[in-house]
Amino acid sequence: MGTFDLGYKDILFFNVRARNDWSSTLPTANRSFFYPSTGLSFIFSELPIFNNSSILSYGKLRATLSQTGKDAPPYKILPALAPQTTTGGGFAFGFFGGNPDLKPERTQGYEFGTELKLFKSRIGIDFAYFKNTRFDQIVSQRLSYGTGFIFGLVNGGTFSNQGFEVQLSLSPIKKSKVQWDILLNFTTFTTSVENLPADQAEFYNSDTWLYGNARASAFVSDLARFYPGVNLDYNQRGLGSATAIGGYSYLRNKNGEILINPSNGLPVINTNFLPIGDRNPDFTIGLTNEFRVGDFSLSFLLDIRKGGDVFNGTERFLFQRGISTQLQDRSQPYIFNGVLRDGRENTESPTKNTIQVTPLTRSDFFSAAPESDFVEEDINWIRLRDVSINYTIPASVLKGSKLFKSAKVFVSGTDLWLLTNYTGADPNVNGNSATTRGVGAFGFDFGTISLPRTISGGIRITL
Amino acid sequence: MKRILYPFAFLLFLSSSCESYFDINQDPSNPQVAEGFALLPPIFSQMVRGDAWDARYVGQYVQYWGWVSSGNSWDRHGFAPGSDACGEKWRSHYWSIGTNIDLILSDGVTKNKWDYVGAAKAIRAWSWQSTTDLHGEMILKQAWEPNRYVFDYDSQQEVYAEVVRLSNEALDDLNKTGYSASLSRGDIVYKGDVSKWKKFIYANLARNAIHLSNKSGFSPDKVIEFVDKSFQSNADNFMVPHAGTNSGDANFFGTLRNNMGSFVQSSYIISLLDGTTFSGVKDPRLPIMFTASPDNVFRGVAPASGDPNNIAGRTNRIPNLWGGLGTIPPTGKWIFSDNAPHAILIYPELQFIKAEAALKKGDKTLAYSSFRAGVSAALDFVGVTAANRETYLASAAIPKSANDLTLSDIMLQKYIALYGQGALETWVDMRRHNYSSDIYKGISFPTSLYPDNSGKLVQRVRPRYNSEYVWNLATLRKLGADLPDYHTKPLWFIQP
Repeated sequence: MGTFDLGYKDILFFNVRARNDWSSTLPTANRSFFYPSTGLSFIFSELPIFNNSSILSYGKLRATLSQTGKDAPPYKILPALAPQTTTGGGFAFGFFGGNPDLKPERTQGYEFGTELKLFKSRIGIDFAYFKNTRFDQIVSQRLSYGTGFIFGLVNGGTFSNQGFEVQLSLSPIKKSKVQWDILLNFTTFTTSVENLPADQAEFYNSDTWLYGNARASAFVSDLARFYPGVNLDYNQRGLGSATAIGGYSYLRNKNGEILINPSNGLPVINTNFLPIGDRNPDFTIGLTNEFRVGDFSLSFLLDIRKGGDVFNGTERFLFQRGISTQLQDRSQPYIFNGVLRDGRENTESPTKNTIQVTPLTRSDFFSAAPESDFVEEDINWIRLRDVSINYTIPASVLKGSKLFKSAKVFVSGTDLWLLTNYTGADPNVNGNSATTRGVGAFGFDFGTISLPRTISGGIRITL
Repeated sequence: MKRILYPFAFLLFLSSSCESYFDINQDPSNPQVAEGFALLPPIFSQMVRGDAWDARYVGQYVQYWGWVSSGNSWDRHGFAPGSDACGEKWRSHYWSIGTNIDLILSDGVTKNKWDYVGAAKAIRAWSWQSTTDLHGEMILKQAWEPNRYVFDYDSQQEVYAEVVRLSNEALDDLNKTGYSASLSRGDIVYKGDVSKWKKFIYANLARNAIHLSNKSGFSPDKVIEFVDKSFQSNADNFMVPHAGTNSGDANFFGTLRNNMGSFVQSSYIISLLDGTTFSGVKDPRLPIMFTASPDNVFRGVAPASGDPNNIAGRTNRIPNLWGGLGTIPPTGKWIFSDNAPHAILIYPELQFIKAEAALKKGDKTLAYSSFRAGVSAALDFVGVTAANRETYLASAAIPKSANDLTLSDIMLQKYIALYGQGALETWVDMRRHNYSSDIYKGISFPTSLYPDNSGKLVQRVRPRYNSEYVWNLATLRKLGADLPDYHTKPLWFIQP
């Protein structure tokens, strides 16, 4: 590893870092990998013209350019044998293939930003724009068994992550007895898929496949190449995204009409895992306000999200069992809006479906709706993440006591209030725990209960 | 003047002298290389698993058994879209037998274990043969290639040629001398008897050759030569044993594995054994192989019709293959019991192959003697007493002289002899003979075939869904394997 730092008059800083790793988890030929990074920052508030500025207290521009490398998990070059319980015992290869030609995984990217402090630091702005591209990712990918395994180990897939973050701090009132501070964090980013390992159309995380045929998937943007002749007009949400929902949807004709099975009057399901939603929000905001009046202080954090789809697996589960509130009159015959798949579906005059289905006598009615029907689009929320009120017992009161140096009384509440357009319990769901690799199962709701409202109070004392 | 405040450089280079220190890519908890003796027993089990699993479905195509309720897709010569059903041989060929073979080969070639090398190649040759007969085109040249993720298919003709090439190599390996034989250690089938392995290779070659009976270049003499070099009696049969103590080591068809609960014997197999087809002759195999209804009449299901009397208490209810009436009995019976061995290839089949080839050649005398040898050994294989065997051989079910022997006699006796475990081979025969009811006397196929069939009988099974349809679809499209009636497209081997 090597670093080189250069500074000029506290105004300009430049650094270069170079690093070479040798990893024992990679094949001998590929185990050495080199990655440099460089950064430049310019503290322009140090320039003479700003010396006595009453507006600008601090100003900085920064840019970094970096590359990193990552090695493989251990013992992956050769496949492992597993003991067998079949007659005679012995060993056989497991599901996961090795790869004698494995290369390190790479990320390269840049970030630039600015940091400003204005009006004696009453206003602070921190802005950062970033773009990172991850390539040659090491993945265990399900492939043709022609590999000799169920999962092949390959380098592949290029994802790029770009977006910006703004942090704004304001102090509208700043007096000795009264103070109001605002801190706002705004984040927006997208992870797009340039290509996937082994030239596949979809990559999915099996841990997120919680219920039905919906899972956290990444899709390439040129999906039509993989599904010639399939109408993908209704599978555009999540296209080219690493945070898509992959699942079953309706099979449609070229005009986008749903195809109906002529023998039972139910819709025909497209059993290819196609994008049926994108879980990535447009943006998220965290807004903290803190008021202080004398010995009292009040602070609250609002958590705001705009956009992002949620798969409501709970609703699907309930619907399939006929206990959803969506369908209350089961005796009412129902005609699915679509055209019959009778060979004429892609002609100029497809046959309109007129087959009546009565849910009361047809249990298959309840399983006919594909997962795409249970994706709730553009889910927004504003939630009061926490509120707390503090009272600091004045030092004068404590004076008589030799025991306490200071004491505080507080009451705080978490998740007290939520405003959302989601029909389920709580859209802030993650079907997996934080240990799941990748982007995880946020946006997958299956039997998840909403966060409890908690109110707590207490006294904090210092002895 | 520029003033440089603190130029600071720090460089450290790690020397790469410790080469061996980094060579620690062997997993300490799971082995990554093994010798043949540890690899062979699971390979035998996987040969059975692939064969037996897919035989469940193919057994419906050939009417060995049927689904207990009506309208089953496989009974109707259909398939299960979006499913791995009947893709087990694909799985075992490429994965669970797959590169385990290469591990035996690399170990055997370096350490002069030619008995293991020959046996491993013999198994792979058998696997190519039996898998291509199910699916047709396969990944051959690019199979098991590292770093490849799109696989091209090769023609069935090339797979057939590979079987011959690999078999000849295996014979050369097994003919080698001057090394210390150790195959008996892992060989739970032939106990290290290299001469039996050679017979097995010829048996597989006999299959390879007779399958081409519809082609102009078909050579009956070659078939007869292969059969003569193969099994000499039931003692040479390739039988994979089962400990049968738990579901891990039990027979696929047994009660512990519980794979056959919804299958019942077909009316067609019963008609071949109860005298319907063979002039009233009661076959001594009938009560050994099958179970009668409570009213003591042997019945079976017509394909896709199910058993209309599958109701508790009915005296004409058809028992399942274990002999239970809608229940799992404590033990199964015959090949449907937990510790029954699985027959991969048996002597009676080879005698019927020889009889067919001889008949085709015009040597009726040879055909007749092979036919009788086949029937006799098939009766022994099921466990019929010697007296019952002789009675049956002398009965009206068996043609009295060489001149009376017909192709139908041979194929029907072969059909009975291969019941259950030999379903895949019986399907080869039925397709070769165009499902002819002149040969398979009394057979009839469901009037309501699977909708995608367009009225045609099934000719092939699609490659495994989660291997090929999901991950290698572009290649499948080139074959037309994405078309709804792909399973009715005849394979190369049956074409003239």
